[in-house]
Amino acid sequence: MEKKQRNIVIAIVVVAIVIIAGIGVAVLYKPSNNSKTIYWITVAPINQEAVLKAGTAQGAVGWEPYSSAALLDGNANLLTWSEDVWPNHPCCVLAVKYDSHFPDNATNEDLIARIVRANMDASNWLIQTAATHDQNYTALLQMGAKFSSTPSFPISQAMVADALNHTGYSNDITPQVKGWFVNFTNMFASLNQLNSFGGYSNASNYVNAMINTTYLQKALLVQPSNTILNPKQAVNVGYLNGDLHQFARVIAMNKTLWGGKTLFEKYGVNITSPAAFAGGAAEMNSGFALGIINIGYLGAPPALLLRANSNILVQIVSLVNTEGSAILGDKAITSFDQLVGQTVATPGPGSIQHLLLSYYCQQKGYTLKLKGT
Amino acid sequence: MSARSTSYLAWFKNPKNKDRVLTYVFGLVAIAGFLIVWAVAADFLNIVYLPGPYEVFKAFIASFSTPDPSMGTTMWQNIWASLQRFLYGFIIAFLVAVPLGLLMGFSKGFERIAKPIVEIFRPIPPIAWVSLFLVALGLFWGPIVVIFIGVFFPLLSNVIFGVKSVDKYLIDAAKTLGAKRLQVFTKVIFPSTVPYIMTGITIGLGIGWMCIVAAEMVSVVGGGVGYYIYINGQIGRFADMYGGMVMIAILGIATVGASRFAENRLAARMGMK
Repeated sequence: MEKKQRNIVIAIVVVAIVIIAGIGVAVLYKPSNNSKTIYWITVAPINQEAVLKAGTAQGAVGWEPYSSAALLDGNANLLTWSEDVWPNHPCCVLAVKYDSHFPDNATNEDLIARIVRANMDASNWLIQTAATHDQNYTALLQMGAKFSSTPSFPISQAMVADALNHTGYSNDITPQVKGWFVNFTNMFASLNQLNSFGGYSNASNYVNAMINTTYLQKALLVQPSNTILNPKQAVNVGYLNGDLHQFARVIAMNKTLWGGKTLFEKYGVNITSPAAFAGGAAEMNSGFALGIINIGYLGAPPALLLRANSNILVQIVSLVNTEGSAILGDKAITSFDQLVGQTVATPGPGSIQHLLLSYYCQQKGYTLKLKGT
Repeated sequence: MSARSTSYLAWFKNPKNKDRVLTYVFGLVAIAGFLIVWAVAADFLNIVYLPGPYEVFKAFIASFSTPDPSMGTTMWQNIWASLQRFLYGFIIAFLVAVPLGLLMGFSKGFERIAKPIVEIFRPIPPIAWVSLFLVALGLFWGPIVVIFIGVFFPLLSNVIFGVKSVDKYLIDAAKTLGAKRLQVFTKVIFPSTVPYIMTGITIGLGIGWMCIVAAEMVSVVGGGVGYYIYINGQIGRFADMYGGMVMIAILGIATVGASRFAENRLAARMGMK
């Protein structure tokens, strides 16, 4: 072998040895054995029951109706509802983003106010029907079951009924709700997931800049319209696939309830929904950031996190729901303490469910780590 | 002029050495130019999705000592996790594609049976299989099988092509000398196919690294560079996301470079170059 080629081979071997040694030290060095660790993996809530059944995870934290579905199917035990950890916590919101294709002008603001009003009416109908079990109750359960079901994972009316017992529907952005948004933002900051407070000095100023309550006030003054005010350019509305937190949108879209029109059409708004999103982060990154949607139903935490990190300048214009998540164990797990050393399926970092799990672990004195690390 | 500089000049005047030096110099100039364009574009556009090279470099270096806030792993741990998956997927693809390719190239009858099935699955991108494999095969084997799919088809194609490219005169000569069918295969066809196998390995390695992000993006055990890229993209930590992409590039260059080196050496030894 020529001298030059031999030198090259020696150099490659030396570099390879250094890299392997470095990796070996990093992998072989184990910190002191922490027996108070719970592990997590990312699994969409619709798949979490299957994962519990298969034994891939021993716990799960997801949103309704999939938590109730797993419980009623007998494949999970309840460890805690989110309302027991964080009473009356907000969850999903309506957020709007203006850009060059959907500019912030009087016309579009009026359309958004009308959408907020449609959501409000749908929420009120939902709250009343769920509370009184009146003649519309069966129709309500059928709508929820149809919305959340897939051929592989059917959802029954009983599951929807149970989900409604643990999910609140509310539109007002009260000082308490704002306080929760500040808490979520600070939690992300303490987890080092937040790059900054979006150019503001603290979480409170950031949240104040993000919330716009004027639409809730305008919505109360909106009147139904016999004509569609935006016939040529629809407002694009995003939502999460199968998520009953956003049940109000499903109800608003039902023409049978509202005399042959959707509630949006009743208030004169032409809307379209390009796609359902798998999660809030996807809705922010793919939906809002790319201009595919103008207004969307999504979890408050991903909206808070990604507005700051990605500069996707959404405004929160309405609350959509409160509570409605649960931490579950598989059939063998009956208390949270039994999850030590086990694996919990979560929708992933950035979601309110993952934040709930992180918080709950911290309260209990446990460490939450990615499985396999 | 000193004796040393004279000897360097003489060395440089050798066309092969000159070509090699110019290749390296132009390569470095191209990379430097790319970094400058990137820095200017990042500064001019001033958007969060395009951090500048220095920001990415800082995040990349920090990732080796500071655990990622979402995953809790350092880049060393992510490299190890991805390497394991990659090697498993690659080795299984090699063990299946090479014998299958040799059979399909050598036996017309077997090719008639296997080819339609191969052609059905070939156009389906590896990423399309991710969700299915995760549910069907679990968190450990799911990503490995996605990498297997990515490496398998290019390797198979090259092996088949290698078998069919064997000089017919060599086969005829072997037969004339009394070689049986199996001897023709082991003494003529298989040795002639080895350089094509090496080419298939080189291509497969590159595609395998491209599949890592798809393979790891749904969920994984123990971290991984692809998952690191996906999670940081999801929560808007873009400098870290780009740092992960740089790591994939380094790993790809290192493995493909090593394979190409071995391929060239083998081809030279076998008189193919």
